[in-house]
Amino acid sequence: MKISFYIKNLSNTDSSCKKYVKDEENGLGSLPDAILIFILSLLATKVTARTSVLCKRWRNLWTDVTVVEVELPLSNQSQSLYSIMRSLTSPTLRRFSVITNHLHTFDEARSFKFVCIREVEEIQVTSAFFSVTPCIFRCKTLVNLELNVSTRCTFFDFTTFNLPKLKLLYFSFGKGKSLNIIAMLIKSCPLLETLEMTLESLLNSPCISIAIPNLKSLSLIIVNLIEKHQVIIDTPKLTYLCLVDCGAGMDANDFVREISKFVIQLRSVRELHIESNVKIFCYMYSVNSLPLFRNLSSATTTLPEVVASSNFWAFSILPPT
Amino acid sequence: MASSSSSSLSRVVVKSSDNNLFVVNKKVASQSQLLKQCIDNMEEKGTNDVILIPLSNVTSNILTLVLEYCEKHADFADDDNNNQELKQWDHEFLKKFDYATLNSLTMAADYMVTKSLLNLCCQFIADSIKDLTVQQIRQIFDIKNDFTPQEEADIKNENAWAFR
Repeated sequence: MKISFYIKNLSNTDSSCKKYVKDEENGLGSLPDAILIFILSLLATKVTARTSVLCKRWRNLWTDVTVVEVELPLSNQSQSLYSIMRSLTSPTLRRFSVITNHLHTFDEARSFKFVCIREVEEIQVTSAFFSVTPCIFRCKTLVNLELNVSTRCTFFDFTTFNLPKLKLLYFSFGKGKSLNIIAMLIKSCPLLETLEMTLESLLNSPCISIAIPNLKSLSLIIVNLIEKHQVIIDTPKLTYLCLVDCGAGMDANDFVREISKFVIQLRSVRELHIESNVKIFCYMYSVNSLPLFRNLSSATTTLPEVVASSNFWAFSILPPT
Repeated sequence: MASSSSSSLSRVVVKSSDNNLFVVNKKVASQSQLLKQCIDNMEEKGTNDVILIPLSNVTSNILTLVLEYCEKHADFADDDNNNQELKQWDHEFLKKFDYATLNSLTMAADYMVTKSLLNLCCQFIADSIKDLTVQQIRQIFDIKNDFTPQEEADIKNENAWAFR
């Protein structure tokens, strides 16, 4: 239905028109601070910090933003992160995102303290080097945590992990991580729904257990897994699974046998993405043990033998008639 | 959910600051939390009278625009928020305004608690200023630089990383 009618009241029109015209000269000048801060929170922090030179009113407006998004490509700029966080006056922070090279100096560790005390909900770190500060793993308000460290990630000695609200955990570490810490980390997030991990060269620990009651989506990219390594997945609510390159370094036949035992148990999976350089499904087909995915609604794969095998899809996806 | 029983209102009358009256269908009015709250309060009291809601901060020019937005969004109220047609409409809707109108529309959306319109305006303003120079931003926001050159240089120095 449309706006039905509109009665024009002539008595007051003149003065109000004048008022309106007067407004028109102001551009965006009369927006209140709260709205300006909201707008600034939608911009990259570099842009918001520049507004400090506009005039006295704007001098410290930007320090009240609830989103910090910084890109510091040069390693000599890393000092800036601390100075940004120290300037910040907003009591809470919704999102903190940093893209840089080096995050392992004392100042940066302190920067994260300023982030975590602000009841932050989202942290994203993309860096070549990163020394993870303990406060990140004790941040009770955190919902999304994404750590993308390409070269070396180091941890301080952690004793406690407490992430009661975490729903999404993404991490991609180069060398230097400890699997024990990852296992403890996973245990500390009871509400976790999405987990994406890239792990390389699991040297110091032979077994990783992923037992997460509410997990819906799991992406596991393990490079250079060797025979003695064991990955145990116990996730009753899983609906999306992605496994990439798990086979490298292991005897091909053993690996195929092991992974097929695992795949056969994934009957509740709804979305399946398969990417591997080993022929799991050819093996399963040959021993007549293809899994039946009763809940499957979407499946993608880069495996030529799976794509070619119409039998595979017929056997494994369709429910029995 | 309010039912369409005899005690519930189907329309309200909204009065702009320049005393123009707008008759608004309830579903459209409910896009504004301010109007919705007024309607809910009146319905709780069980009144059958047409209610008049005066908006002392919104001129009729701007109210017309807010209601145009609310009307469009009421049509899509049952769809999910990612409707492409609606997104396209939103973008076209804001594109035609000058900054002064955008200013008033943003304030009206804030005052009338039409959160999606407020978000839309703020995102639009953010997108329009993100690539501008300091001087251009001063123009848009009608800002007079009240710093001395020395003060301005000091601030730039303090946030040097942002000015590289």
